[in-house]
Amino acid sequence: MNVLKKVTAVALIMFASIAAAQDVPTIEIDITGGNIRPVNTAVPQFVAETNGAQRLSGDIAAVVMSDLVSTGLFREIPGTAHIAGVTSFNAQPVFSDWSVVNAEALVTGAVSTSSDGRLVVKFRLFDVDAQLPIGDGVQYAGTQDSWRRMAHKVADTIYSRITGETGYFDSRIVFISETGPKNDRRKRLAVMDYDGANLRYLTDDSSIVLAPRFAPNTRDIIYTSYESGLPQVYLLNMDTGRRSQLLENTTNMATAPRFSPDGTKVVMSIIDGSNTDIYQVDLNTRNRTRLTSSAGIDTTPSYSPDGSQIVFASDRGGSQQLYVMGANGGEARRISAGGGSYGTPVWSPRGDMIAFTKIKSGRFHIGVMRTDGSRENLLTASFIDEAPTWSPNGRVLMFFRETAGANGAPQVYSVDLTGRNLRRVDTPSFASDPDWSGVLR
Amino acid sequence: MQSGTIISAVGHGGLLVVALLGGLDWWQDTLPEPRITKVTLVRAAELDVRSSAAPQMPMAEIAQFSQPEIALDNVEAPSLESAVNQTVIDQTDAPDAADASPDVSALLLPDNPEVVVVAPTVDMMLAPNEAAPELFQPALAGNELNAPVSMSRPPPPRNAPRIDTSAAARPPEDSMPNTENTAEVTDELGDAVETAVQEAGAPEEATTEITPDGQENVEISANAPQSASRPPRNPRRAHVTIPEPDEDIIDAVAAALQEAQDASQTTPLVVADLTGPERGVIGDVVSQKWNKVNITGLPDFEQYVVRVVVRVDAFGRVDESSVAPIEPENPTGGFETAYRAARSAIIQAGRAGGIPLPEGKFPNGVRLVLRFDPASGEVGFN
Repeated sequence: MNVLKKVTAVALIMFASIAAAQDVPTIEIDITGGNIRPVNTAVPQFVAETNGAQRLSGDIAAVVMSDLVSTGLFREIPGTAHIAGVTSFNAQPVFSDWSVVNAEALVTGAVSTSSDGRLVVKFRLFDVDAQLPIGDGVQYAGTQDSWRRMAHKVADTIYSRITGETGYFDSRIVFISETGPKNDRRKRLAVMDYDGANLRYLTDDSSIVLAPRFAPNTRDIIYTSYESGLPQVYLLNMDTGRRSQLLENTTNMATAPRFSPDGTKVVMSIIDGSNTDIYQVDLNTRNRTRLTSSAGIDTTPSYSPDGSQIVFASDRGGSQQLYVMGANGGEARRISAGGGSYGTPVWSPRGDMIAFTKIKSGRFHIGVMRTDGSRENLLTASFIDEAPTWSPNGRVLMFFRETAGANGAPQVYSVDLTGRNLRRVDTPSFASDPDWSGVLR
Repeated sequence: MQSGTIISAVGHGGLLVVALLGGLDWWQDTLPEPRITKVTLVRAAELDVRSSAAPQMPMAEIAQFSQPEIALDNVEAPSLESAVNQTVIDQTDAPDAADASPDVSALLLPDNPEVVVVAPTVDMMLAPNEAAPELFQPALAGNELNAPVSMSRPPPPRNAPRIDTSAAARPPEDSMPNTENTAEVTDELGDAVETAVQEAGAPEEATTEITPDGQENVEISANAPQSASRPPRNPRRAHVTIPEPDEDIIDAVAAALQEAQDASQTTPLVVADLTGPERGVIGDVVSQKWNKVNITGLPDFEQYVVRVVVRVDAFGRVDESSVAPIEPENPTGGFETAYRAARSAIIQAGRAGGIPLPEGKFPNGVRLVLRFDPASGEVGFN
């Protein structure tokens, strides 16, 4: 009977528990406010697991933090505020030590080197509030020379896990480097890492160069040069330095080239007489196909990510507006509906939006709209803001801004898709016409 | 101590017995028979006659009365001090002619006087019987129904307001009726008037610190017992063998438990009712901690609405381990980002001071379901 009593008691307790649980009332409330502020992030110096890794452990952590902060989505908890360090990569963090400094995300890492020049970087990401890891630990291995790229990879992974989007720190920017006075500006092709490191000049300043664009392979660049006296499109391989004119034996001026998403074609504007139309050039055969035939000026074409459509600017309706047509030409429909004129449209890598330059009431804007022209949102306003380019994940736009006056000069800026976090991108000289590569492979 | 308990038990037992036997109805059944009062009904004229001068009897009848004989043997003569003036009547006056034949008809009883004997009832006491003798009713003005009634002396007249019952003079011919409309008074409630609510505050404690009896940071010995020692076994039951539980009973209990759990899952939850301001306060506290920075940049971020549940105790403390997604149940992609932001908001709100539940309204705490709906977070120059 004792056992029976115990069973009965346990049953009664469970009944009571269930009843008590049901007695707790439920309140349902909508949360609609919220705020937008950077995530407080702590990236203490990575643990140097070998003697030679001491310097790199600090440098890598610094690059990771710099990448994250540059997005405007993260705020650094400075090392001087840390009350706890990380001495062992495998030790569980003391979350209370990080909560007290208001850290919301914590990155711990370790670096080790080997005598043959190999470098291993590993890290873990934690949600300090929930006291839980965000994903598993990750390890990258490479040469010690590539430590910056490895740091960018770490930052990309952190960014991806926290925001749900792919990172873009391991990418490059090609742009026009400008030097000299405004009336005698020298222009060169230049390429650098996303954060301004590893700057390289691809051309000299003997001729004017314009509008460089990355190929999807991030190795080839297509651009416009006046070296022959007329604007012509050239193809350049960054690894080999080999360069070729895209359309040979032609007297037509060609501008505004852009690769197709698969990298097999280039779409551009060709000026034939008094008419400017859009052409598609097959990179293998160098054959060109005319896609538009309107009497107006059709220019600055850009493929959709799936390669099925092309957005371009045209003044066929009177003022310059944005139009969308099929990748093989055909009827174009106007998508821009606001006042003013539109130019330099670029399709988002996500495929959901189109960035553009808008001129209205004497001011330039960088804006975005849906691919059907709806929900236009102007992100910037300035004397001259022009030539937007998308980050590989479609979250950030880069463009150049030129200041007014005799000493006015262009600088590259970036802005978040939401219109926040407008930042100037550091370049060693004046810079214009940036183009963002995809994530490096 | 035991005497008091016994007395109390007896008293309560008696009351229980009374209640079981029918309570007050039984009590009324045992009441004594009503006492019967014989009442002779007389008219007012008869009462007047009886209360007027005594009837005059003829001297002849008086003369027939015999003188009472008084033994005077042992009677002491009164002392001089107590001597009183004696009036010796040795003759009587002849009656007046007017009294020779007095009218005594009023004193004669009817031949068969009908006497109705009834038990007094409440109705009879409340409703004045017309045949009842009229008592003196003082003149009461107005609402003096409860004024004491005295048969001996009528109260002095009250200074009641005098009302002129004569007709008022007609208004002048050129007078006009008031055309100003007055708002019609209805029974409907008007707009609610907000009144400042005074919040009662408890008096401040004399000290802000609570000093527990225990000591902090005392090392726990490794040799300390893991639990208290088991009490000695009841010797009377030491010999009892423990039977194996009946599997049927266990199965029945398990089935009942499963049924109860199923019922708990299907039974609609108790939904608490909160006022708008109460909801607003809770929403604000969580909203202030809700960081949407990682949500607003997502494509079509408006779709990333998540519902999160959390247990909150009566004091607003958040049970961090209870934070869980409800919708979607297993968030991935953008929903995972949205859920993580919501979870952080709840935890941070809990750590910053708790969820401000209405004081005393939820003694068992609440199950808080929060629906995070990201609104437009774009800024621009449109």
